[in-house]
Amino acid sequence: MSLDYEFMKNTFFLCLKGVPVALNITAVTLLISVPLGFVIAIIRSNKKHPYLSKLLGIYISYNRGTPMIVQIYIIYNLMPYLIFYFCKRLNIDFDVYGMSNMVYAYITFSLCFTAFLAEAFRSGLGTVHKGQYEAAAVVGLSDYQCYRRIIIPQAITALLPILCTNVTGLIKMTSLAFSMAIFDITAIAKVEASADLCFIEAYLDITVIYVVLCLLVELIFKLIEYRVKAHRAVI
Amino acid sequence: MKPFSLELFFKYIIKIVPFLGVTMIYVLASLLIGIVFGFFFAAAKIGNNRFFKLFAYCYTAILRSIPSVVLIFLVYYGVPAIVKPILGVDISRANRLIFIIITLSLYSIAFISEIMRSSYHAIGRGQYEAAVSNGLSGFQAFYRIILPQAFVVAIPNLGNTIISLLKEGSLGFTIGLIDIMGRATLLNAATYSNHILEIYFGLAAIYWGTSALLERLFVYLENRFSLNYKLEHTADKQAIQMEEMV
Repeated sequence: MSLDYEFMKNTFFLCLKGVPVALNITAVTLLISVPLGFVIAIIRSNKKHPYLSKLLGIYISYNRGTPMIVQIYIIYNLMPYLIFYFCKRLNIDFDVYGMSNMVYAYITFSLCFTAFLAEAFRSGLGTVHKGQYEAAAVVGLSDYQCYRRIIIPQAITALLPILCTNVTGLIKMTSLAFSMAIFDITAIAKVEASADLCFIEAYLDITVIYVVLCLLVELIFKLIEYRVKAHRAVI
Repeated sequence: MKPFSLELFFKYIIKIVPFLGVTMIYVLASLLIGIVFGFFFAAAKIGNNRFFKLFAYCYTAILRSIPSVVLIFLVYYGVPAIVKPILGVDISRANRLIFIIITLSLYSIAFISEIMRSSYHAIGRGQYEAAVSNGLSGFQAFYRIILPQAFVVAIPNLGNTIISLLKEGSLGFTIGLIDIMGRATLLNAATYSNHILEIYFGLAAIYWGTSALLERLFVYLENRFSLNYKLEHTADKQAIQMEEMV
């Protein structure tokens, strides 16, 4: 087995152009789904809204039980139809077919990732003892104050590692954006590979890129964790 | 675009379901391989040999950060290129199932070795020391004391692993494997994407049902093997009740 090193070098730099796209999707998805996931986790962890949490439970189980690629196909094909229908109903002049593929990617990844995060955050919130909620209520804190001042500071050490695994998972998930005609890292490698028939080289390149990206994310989270722990020790 | 037809939805479910067998084959095969090799990797992580330890940890860290679609292609093109000069056999035309099983096994080794390591540590060294000080040999202590307890701790995580293998394996259609996902893709191509929503909703329903069933199964197993259950269903129950009454 001999590798074409010249091709490998060229493709590596070409594929690096896909990194901002992947990070763009990751960042927007995180911005949407971290707050949403947190709200869902809180709704599901206290028992004030039984029907709503049942409904959210179904949504989460669907997202956890079906492969990402199937969800992408469904949303990518369903969304334009739904938007077109609503715009027609409400008499809004909106060009559905002129919409960027990136918007679909944001919607798809956010919908899926919110479910993952909601479940992860729920288990993170579960590490805080029940007595803490009751104590906060007894002292007279509102729900918001209770979470802001009592629960989240305690849960954050458990939440950070969970968030870290999920963020690396999200970066890996973005490799499926090629099925939405988005030129991210994987799509560029695919095109380059099939042009020159150097499949192994191209995929080795992007393996390196993904591994470095994920390890960097893990490193960043380790640093944040370290800071949070130091902060807690001072208090 | 035509409205969604329930009739077609059920028709396509019936057409896709027979291929669930292929999906289950690669899930179970890779789980089995993962358990066997994952055991050695976990042993390397727990053990004292520096080189093996570093290797096992690096393997897990790298495998966890490769997207499955990339690894599938890497295995699909890479394994035949490695095998050909060594064995002199061209396996690039072999059954695609083999490549998917190799890919998923690589993943499951990483996942399962990590699960085994964490559940071993969850049991605690005290159990091992207590067993050895009672006169059991090292192997006996592991086989009779650590393993049964670690197994129960590992059950929920094993359930998650099997579901994620099921989901990762769906990307096998990219190299032309005909499992439920591949079958749905073929049906979609044959109908010129006219029934795309019915087909993929049907497929999603099958995946959802399968993983929900697997989840239930593992919750049942966890309850069945956990300590509470045993206490409730053996003579110990009476002893506990007696104690409570006193």
